[in-house]
Amino acid sequence: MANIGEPQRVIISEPILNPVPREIPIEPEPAFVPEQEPEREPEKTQHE
Amino acid sequence: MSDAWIKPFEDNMAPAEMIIVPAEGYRIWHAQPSLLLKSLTSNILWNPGERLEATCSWGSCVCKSSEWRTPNYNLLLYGSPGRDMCSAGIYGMKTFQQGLESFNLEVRMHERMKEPESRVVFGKVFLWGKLLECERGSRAQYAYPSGFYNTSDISAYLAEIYRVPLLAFKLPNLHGTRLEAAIRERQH
Repeated sequence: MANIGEPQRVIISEPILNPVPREIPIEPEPAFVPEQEPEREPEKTQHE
Repeated sequence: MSDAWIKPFEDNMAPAEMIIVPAEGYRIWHAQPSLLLKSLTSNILWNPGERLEATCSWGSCVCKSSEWRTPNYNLLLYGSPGRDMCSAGIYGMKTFQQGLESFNLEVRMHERMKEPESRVVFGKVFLWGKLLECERGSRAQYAYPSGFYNTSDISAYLAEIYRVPLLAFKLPNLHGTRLEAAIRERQH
């Protein structure tokens, strides 16, 4: 135990921010879904 | 009660000052092989993400009785009205230099131990709740590490586990001193 000398005064510390760091939840990255091209309508052939 | 150890001081000193930030001090720990921090003078473990709360573990300590309320109790027993009756609290030293000296002393002592599995860690600590400010540091009701100096190969891992910064370790004006030589030896 460190020798920190004689007591001088009492202080009350009520921090506004919590000094204990919170665990930051790591959200899984969304799975890669390749964009699908919209289905093309079959070209209409013109009959003369 | 968790803060019973500080009551005698509260009752015998001027009304407490209130602050809205935690105090910060310097201290050393032992890192267990599991990389959990342990206080030097007790088996108390510091769990990541949890504040540590101070308690007095000495069953017959005067802080647990009403004897200290007796007028002149300290004067009769110790010859001083301001005698430190209970040594509980989570300790932090006031200056980097004090912390560094404690670190170097502990490293030297630790090298002579039979079970050198644990490591000595030097860092900073947040102290809050009820604080007993002393000449060269503070004793607090609650504490959590606020950073670890990069003194060894486990420092970065500890910083990650406790989610605190890894602090640069600079030598303050120690050029040519034995302290500087001791630190350089540990770094290589």
